[in-house]
Amino acid sequence: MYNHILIATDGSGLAGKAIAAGFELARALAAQVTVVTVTEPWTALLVGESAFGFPVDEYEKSAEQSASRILSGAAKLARKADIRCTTVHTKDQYPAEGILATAHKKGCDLIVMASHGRRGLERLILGSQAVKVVTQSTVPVLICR
Amino acid sequence: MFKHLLIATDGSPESWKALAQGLALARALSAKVTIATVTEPWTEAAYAILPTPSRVRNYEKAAAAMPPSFSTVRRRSPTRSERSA
Repeated sequence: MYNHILIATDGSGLAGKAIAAGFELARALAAQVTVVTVTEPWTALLVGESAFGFPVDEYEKSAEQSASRILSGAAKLARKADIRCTTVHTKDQYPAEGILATAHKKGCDLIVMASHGRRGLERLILGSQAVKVVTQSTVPVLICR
Repeated sequence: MFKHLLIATDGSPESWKALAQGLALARALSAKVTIATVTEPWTEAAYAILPTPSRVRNYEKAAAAMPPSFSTVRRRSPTRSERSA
């Protein structure tokens, strides 16, 4: 069955569910796991004058910090569950593109992610990034909710 | 892990892929599988045709007839623990 599972997380509670489900599946299938967190390009977050108050290098530092916090938490869980796991921080990409690119680059054969991200509109049945991944992915996608 | 998978199919080539994936996953997880195919109500399938009773009956008969290729899909027989559950 699946040999290499990509689990996407943005550190939100729902993403925690995706990690738990992905790890459980990986354990059942004796699969390898890559956990990815994607941080967006600086320009995506701030437009107009407010951008001047938040320099690029400061943004990159804080993105780096939050990504490493998220990934180290996931790595710790993986060690506890005795799962072969590597972590990846994909920078300067929109979440869906980053997830798809990482899955392709690492040769993953399943993507596990949450239905909504940190900023998702909960009234939507499926968040915008999940929709993009589901529609564009060439490998199966497991959406956790 | 997952104990009961629902695999939806309409007999299209794409849905065969889902069926293959679902069955492989079920086998790997020793999970039970239900294969579902959904047929639409008469009104959606043929809204322009007058729904006489015999037409509706014919439609429902046709909808009930599974594609012959389905017969190649066999359900895994339940394990002892499933039977006792």
